[in-house]
Amino acid sequence: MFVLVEMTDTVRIPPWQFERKLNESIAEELNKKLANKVVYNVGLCICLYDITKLEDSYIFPGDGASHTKVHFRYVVFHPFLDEILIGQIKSCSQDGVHVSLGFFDDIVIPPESLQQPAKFDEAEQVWVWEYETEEGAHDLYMDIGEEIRFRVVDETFVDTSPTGPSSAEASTSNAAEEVQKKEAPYTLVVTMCISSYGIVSVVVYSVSKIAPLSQGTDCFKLTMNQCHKMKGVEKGRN
Amino acid sequence: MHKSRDKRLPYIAGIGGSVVEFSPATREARVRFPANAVDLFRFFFNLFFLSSLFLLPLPLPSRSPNPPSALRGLGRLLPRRAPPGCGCPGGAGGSSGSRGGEDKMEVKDANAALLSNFEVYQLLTDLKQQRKESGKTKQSSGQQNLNTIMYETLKYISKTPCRYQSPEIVREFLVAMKDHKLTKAEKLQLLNHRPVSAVEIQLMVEESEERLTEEQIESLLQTVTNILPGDPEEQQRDSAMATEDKGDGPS
Repeated sequence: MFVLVEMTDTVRIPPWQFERKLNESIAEELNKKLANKVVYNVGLCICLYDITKLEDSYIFPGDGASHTKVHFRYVVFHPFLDEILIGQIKSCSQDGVHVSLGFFDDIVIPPESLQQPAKFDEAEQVWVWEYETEEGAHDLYMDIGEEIRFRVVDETFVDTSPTGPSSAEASTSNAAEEVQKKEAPYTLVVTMCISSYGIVSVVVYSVSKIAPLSQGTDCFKLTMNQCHKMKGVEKGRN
Repeated sequence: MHKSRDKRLPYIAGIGGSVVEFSPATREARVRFPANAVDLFRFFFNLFFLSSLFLLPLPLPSRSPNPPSALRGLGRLLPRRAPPGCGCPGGAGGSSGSRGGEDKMEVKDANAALLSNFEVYQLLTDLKQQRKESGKTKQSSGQQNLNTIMYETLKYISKTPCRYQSPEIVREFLVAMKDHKLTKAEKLQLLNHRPVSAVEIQLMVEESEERLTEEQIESLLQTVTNILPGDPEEQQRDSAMATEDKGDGPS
């Protein structure tokens, strides 16, 4: 689920922080810059792991702050393909089931990857899966808050950096649409996994945290392609 | 060369063109330059004195006040440094053009290592401890993102089996897993999820039907449940159920 990413960056320490230890100031600056933000093609950054190397600090004319090049490692949320994760169903809509991990929300299970006898119940706004066993048909209601186990299938990164003036002209005319253009920088498309406990626990992950992402964050969309067929591994097996 | 020019000076000796007149009576000697000596003198005078006047204003090879044209052009075209206190982009942008490339953030290795949930849990709890100890001297505005992500991630990870783990348990687990020939990713998933049924193992291990026989799956399950501690309440419940089953069995 989590990976360690090695990065380098130049950190600016303003003069009024010179009395603090350099390592602490740098750690704080890096966390301020990267925590809870999505980096394009990398993932959702969680927190600083350690500082590997500090190069010399420089002060440049005109700016009293010191600039230091830092080599560091950061903990990043970036599940690999086919990884199994557990999350909670956040909401259901026509375009699938949205799952959340708490710290990451943009996980979606597209309707195609739900087991085929699935239908969307408009009244309750939930997806229902009619699961057939020897004993009869079970209706699996994917209620909000239910825990679900899912398998990561695909990921999509979207560059949400601000665009140039050319797009600004178009957006002034469509003020209403502009609000809707907010895209999640990192989206996972996942598929359900079924466990063999009494109730089929469908794991649906929807990652929909967009808010704290700044420019340069991308959506990582994981697409769920396969629904793991667990029919053979029902209660009878063990 | 003997010349007699003057009566008073009967003996005249000349040396190299000059004439020395020697008067025996007065023992007075006098050197007389040749008749055109004045011209010569004037010539030399002009040569040395006046020419020095000419030499001084000769243009010496001096350094031009401006640098060579190429750099000069750059110096004028570089944007003025942004005023200090502009924030990081301003400070970084104000640096000279040659350093511009080094200021960007670079990702050296996007997949340096895989981290287990337990390691992240440990890191976050240590960080939380540190921040609590250092007091609330930090400005909350900049730290809000870090606080949010730390809280949420800790909340999520605390619900997984990794909160009962320790470094020794993890090491023991990895040693035991050596025999089962699983990939790194599969071992990581087993560590993070602690599967208790064969179904879950089939989910996590790719092509488990082909790679593992039923006995192998069973032994793998045993290893996982023995080494990795699970939820203590669940374990009590399971053992209670097991004793009940045993009670019902013989009857």
